Order: sequence, then structure tokens, then C-alpha cells
Amino acid sequence: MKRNLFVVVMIVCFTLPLHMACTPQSASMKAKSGEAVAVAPSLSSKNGMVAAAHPLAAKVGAEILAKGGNAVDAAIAVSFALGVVEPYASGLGGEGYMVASLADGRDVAIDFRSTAPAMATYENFAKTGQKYLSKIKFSAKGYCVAGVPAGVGKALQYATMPLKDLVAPAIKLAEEGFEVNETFSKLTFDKYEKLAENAPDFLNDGMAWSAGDKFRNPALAKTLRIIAEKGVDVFYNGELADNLDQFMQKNDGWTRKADMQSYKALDIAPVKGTYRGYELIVPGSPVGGPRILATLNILEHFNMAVMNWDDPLAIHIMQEAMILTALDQRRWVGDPLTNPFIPEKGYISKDYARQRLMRIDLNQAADPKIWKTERVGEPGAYEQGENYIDVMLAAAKAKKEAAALDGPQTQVPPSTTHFSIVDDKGNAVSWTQTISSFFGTSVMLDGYFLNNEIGNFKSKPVKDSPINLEPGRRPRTTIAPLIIREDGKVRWIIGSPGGGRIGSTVIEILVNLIDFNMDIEQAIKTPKFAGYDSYKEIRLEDRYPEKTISFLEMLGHKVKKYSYPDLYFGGPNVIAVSEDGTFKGVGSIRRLGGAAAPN
Amino acid sequence: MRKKIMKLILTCAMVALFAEATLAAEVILTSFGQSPDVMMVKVVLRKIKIKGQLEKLLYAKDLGDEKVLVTVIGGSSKGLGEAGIDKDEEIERVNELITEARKKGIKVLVMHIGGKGRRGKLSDLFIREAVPMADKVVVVKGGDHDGLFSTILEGKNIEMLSAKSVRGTTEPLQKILTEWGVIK
Repeated sequence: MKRNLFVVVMIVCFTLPLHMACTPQSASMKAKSGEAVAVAPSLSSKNGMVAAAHPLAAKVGAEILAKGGNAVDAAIAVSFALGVVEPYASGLGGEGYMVASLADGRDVAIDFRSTAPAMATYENFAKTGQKYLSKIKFSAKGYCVAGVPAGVGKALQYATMPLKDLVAPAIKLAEEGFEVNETFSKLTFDKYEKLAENAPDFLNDGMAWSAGDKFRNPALAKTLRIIAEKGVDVFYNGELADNLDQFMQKNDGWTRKADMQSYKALDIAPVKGTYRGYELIVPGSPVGGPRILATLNILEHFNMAVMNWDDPLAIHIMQEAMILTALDQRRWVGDPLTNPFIPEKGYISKDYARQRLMRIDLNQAADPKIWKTERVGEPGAYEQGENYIDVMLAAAKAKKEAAALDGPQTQVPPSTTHFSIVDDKGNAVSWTQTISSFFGTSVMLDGYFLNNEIGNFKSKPVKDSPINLEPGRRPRTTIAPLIIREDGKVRWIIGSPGGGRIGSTVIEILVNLIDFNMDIEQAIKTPKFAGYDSYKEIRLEDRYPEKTISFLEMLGHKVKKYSYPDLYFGGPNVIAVSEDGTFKGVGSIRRLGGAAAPN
Repeated sequence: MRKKIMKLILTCAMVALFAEATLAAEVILTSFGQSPDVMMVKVVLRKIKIKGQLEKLLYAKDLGDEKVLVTVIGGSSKGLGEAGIDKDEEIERVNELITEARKKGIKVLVMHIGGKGRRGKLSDLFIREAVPMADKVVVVKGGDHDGLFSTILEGKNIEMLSAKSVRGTTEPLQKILTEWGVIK
């Protein structure tokens, strides 16, 4: 009996500490096998949240959070993972912008936009015999120096985990492969001709990828492994830069290793604004943040809350405001580092918005024929915080004629991807990255696609245009990752891909949330329309009531319908934070995105 | 003896060449909707040793003595724009083409290889036009997710064959082209 008791005591003594040690370890094992996170198209959690354009990428981010990483750790891992699972939308060969609200109270941003290489000059372009830069977009010449690796390098200063741990999930996805979804399949079908010509190795034995196929990318896994071992600098100064240099020389491209070596991602202060008491933190020029603020500044003067998403008057007001701000963006916004004057402060000033709103006729749509000649504003007059009454009286006195627009018709990225992340420590990250067109140049190197941002410059130099092609210049694009705070606390993290539709989709989501009092799922699902000066008509999803459309046509708008839901209107991946600290993540319904959270 | 062997080899080579040349004229492909999907079907045919002739804008008058007309459905606004035609002109072209093919005794195979992603207003319009006029239909998984093809074919004597992916269309294609005497 005594002997039996001794054995029982000994067993308890040995197993109890073992059991106690096993509890956290088993949690960590769960994280490794993916069981520690939940993934769904929309999800609520108090443990942090990731919303991304692909559920596998969202899952990677949530697993990093589950392992104790912060939102920036997760963002870096998601950035790499998206390059694997959405190679058509972003990746190492791309660029982007990060905005973050950190738990220690800092608001930070990283501009990792691409830059034109030294050989990207109008003289060299003339030698190609082409008239438009769009004609070289799908060749090695279309590439601008990628910023994603450098952006990640900068983001590491806010991270807590080593780079190799953050790259590891992407390596695993690239090596082991994953099931192709409908979005992946559709895009490879759409771009089949270009891919067959420029990246036949990407295809599935010469064919587009069908949903359900297993896609592996061993070349990208190898590249990511090099980055994990040697750091992001290897992309700009090491063997990956050498590979790019050789590739460019062989394929008559413009980028050289020297361009890679001189590239820098920028730590930059985010731009801030307000809308009906909410604080918005957005990226500044040369991307789409200022236009979001400028548009909301105009809308703030209308009582949108008494209308609804399908009220034609609300659509008319928003459309007209968005056209005005798009015209200003096209004329005035560009790379502040290579342009002598970007009147960003004036553009986003509340007083300038008052002057601009006077241009909106509630009875009729402005004629697209006069948009560029008569409706471009002069935000520079508000650069020092001037009052609209003084500016307008002075202008009337001087009979100053409205400035004419130089009319740059740049391409905007139709692809792109956005993700939002928040952790339970109070850090929030809003991150958008792109390779411009879907599949960028459609030229692939070391497993990643090269961006084709060159198409975002003007094809010929125009006096004072902020987007003339110039070595080292960052092209202008429409991306706008943003964070919205209410009473000092993060309320929403928002962003979207969608080229010229990014601004309108983000603005509509904000109006849906703030004015129409929708929850984020509703705000995303509600049909969208595109207000942008490249389109002479209102482009909208066909779920708007016929009466709404008839009314818009009565006001003089031309309407072009798209089947609902259409990827054309972007793929926002959004997080909402409620007062009790619950995070709600919603992946894009238009792109089959997902939300993921630690359990 | 050696000469005889050489002769035999040469004869075989000639027969093979002739056979390929004959086959080349037997299958003609066109797009219905101007997406690039039809190019992939050409690649699939090549894999089963059939040299299909591809004409994205094939008109009724262009038909010769082919045995099979393959119409690959995939609506692309961009493709239509590049081809300089609108959706109504495209429907008219393919309707006339299939009508002429049937008059000439050319078998009509309608294919949809883009899965769910290649569905939508434009593609559905072309599906509704072409499918009832086919002799046989091949659909890649996902293309009939909502039963559109099945509904159109209900009560009609038109066989629909399915494939798991674009690559997987080799199997139904081989079966159909054997049945129609293209593959012997």
C-alpha cells in the first residue's frame, strides 16, 4: 500500500510540472498548425484582427499576432504572404504605403513608393519610337525601382520579431502551394495573352490557372529565403539586385543596380484631417490620402445623414465633389521631393473646400467638356491657412482667371491590395501595396512580377506637371490606406485597391459609416459608384434602384452599369473597433478576401 | 535491306506529315466574346496532337471543309473593344457562323473554360446564344455553378461534358474528336 502511494505521489510530482509547462506550449503548437486562429469572410474578436484580400494572408497575420507579435509584425508577414497568394496584385517587385497608429501614441507612415530609374528620361523614351508610355508598360522598361522590401525594412523598426520569422509563412506558402481561388483564376484568364508572352513559366503548363488548381512558386520561395537569411538589403545591394541588373540588360530595360542602390523608403509624417469630428490619418502626396480629405471637407457642408446610400441627391453631391477633387489632384498632386511646389495644405484646407463646394450645382451635373478647362481650382491660395472670404474677394478684385489644367492623363493602378491590422496592444496598421496593373509588366523575375508604374508618368513633358517623367521621381497614384479615430481611439482601419475607384470607394465607405450609420459589413457590401475625372459618366454597380438612376440621368449624368458585385470597384479590407474593444474584420466581398483573428 | 528500312521510315514520316496537314484543316476555333480563352483551347488541342486553326473573328464566309467548329465563350469588354465590335455584332457574327457550320455539316463544339470567374452579364449573354446551337458542350468546373448550362440544355439532345480545369479538357476533347472522326 505504502509502495503504491509512493508510486502515485511520484507520478503526480513528475507529471504536474510537466502538465503546467505544456499548457502554454500546446498553445504555441496550435499557433504553428494554424488552429490558434479563426478565419472567415467577416469576424469579431478581442484578440486582434487582420483583414486582407486573401484569407490565407489574413491567417498568416493572425498567426503572428497569436505568437505575440504586434500589428507591424503581422503587417510585414501579411505583405510577404500577399506577394505569394496574390502575385498578380502586389509583391517584392511592387510598392506601397503604410500608415500606423501606434500604442505609444505615435502616428507614423512609410512611403515605399517606387521611383523612376536614371535611364527613364524622355530622351530615352523617344528612342523607343513609341508615343505613349502605356506602350512600354508591359516590358522591362515599364519597371520603376520597387519599394516593398525597403518598406518592410523601415517597418521593422516598429516590429518585435526577427525578419526571418516574418518571412517564414510566405516561404511555406510558396513552397507547399495553395489552392487557386476564383479571383486568381479569373485574373490569369484575363491576362493570359500577356502572361503567355512575358511569363510562360508562371502559367499552368501553358494554361491559365483554374480555381482548385494547386499553385506553387519555388522560385519565389528561394528569393524569400535569401531575404530571410540576408535581410532586405540583399534586394538592393546584393545578389537579387545583380539578378535584376542582368535581367534588365538582357531585356533592354532601364533599371540598373545603381538605381536599386540609391532607392530609399521614407519615414514620413502622415497627413491628418477631420470629418464630422472624426480624425483621419492618411498618407500624403503623391498618393490618394489628400484627395480623401479634400472630398470629405466638401461633403461636410451637406447634411448627408438625412439622405441614404441610394438617394440620387447624395450620389450627385458626392460625384460632383469627387470630380472637383480629382481634377485638383491631377493638376496639383505629385512627388513633393522632386517638385518645387505641391499645395497639399491648401488642397486639404477647410476654407478651400468652402470655395470648391460653391462650384457644385445641385440642379445639374457639370459638363465633362469643361471639367479640365473651367473646374480646376487654385489650392495654392490657401497654403498659409487663408480664409475663403479673403481669397475670393481678392480674386474677384484681381479678376483673376481660372487656371487651365495641363491635362495629364495618367494611368492609375487597377490592381493593388490593401490590408488592415490591429492588435490587442493598441497598434493599428493600414497598408496598401501594388504592382500597378494586374501582374504589373507581366514580366517575372525570381518568382515575382515587376511593377509597371512607369505608366503613371506623363508620356510627354508638360510645363509644371507634377508627374513629368524624371529619374528618381515617385509617380502619383490613388492608393489611400487610412486610419480613423474617434475621441482619440482607433475606430476604423480602411483601404482598398481599385485604381481610379479607390478614392470613391473609400469615401463612400466613410459616408456609409459616419453619415448613414451602417456597420462595416453593410458599408462594404452596399453598391458602389465611381466618381473620377477619367470617366465621363457615373460608373455604378447595378443594384441602385432604377428611380435613382433615372434621377441622376435627369440631372445630366451619364450612367454606366456594372454587375454587382464587381472587382472593378475595389476590394476594401476593413476593421472596426467598437467601444468595448471588440474588433470586427471584414474581407472584401468583391475579391474573396478574409478576416482572421487569434482565438 | 537498309534501303528498304529507309524507305519505310520516309514513308512513315510522309504519312505522319500528311496526317498532321490534314488534321490542321479539320478543326477551326473562334472566340465568342473575344476573351483570350480560345488561345488556351488551341494549346490544349496541340497537346492532343490536333492543330486547330484559330481565327478570333471568324465569319460564316470563312468556313471551308472543316469537320469541327470550336466556339470558346468568354466575354471581354476589352477584347471586344480591341476587335472593334460590340456585343450585338459579336452575337450576330457567331449566330451566322454556327448556322453556316450546321448547313455545311460541320460539328459545333461550344466550350466554356473560365469557370465561375468567366461568368457575368456579358459571358452569360453569349452562353445563352451559343449553347442551344451546339452539338456538344464542354464546361470547366465552376462554369455551371448556378446551373445555367444545365438549364439551357434541359430537354435538349446536347451532351455536356465537364472538366476539372483547363488542362483537364484534354479528356473530353479527345473523346469528342474521336467520336467525330477527327482523331482516328
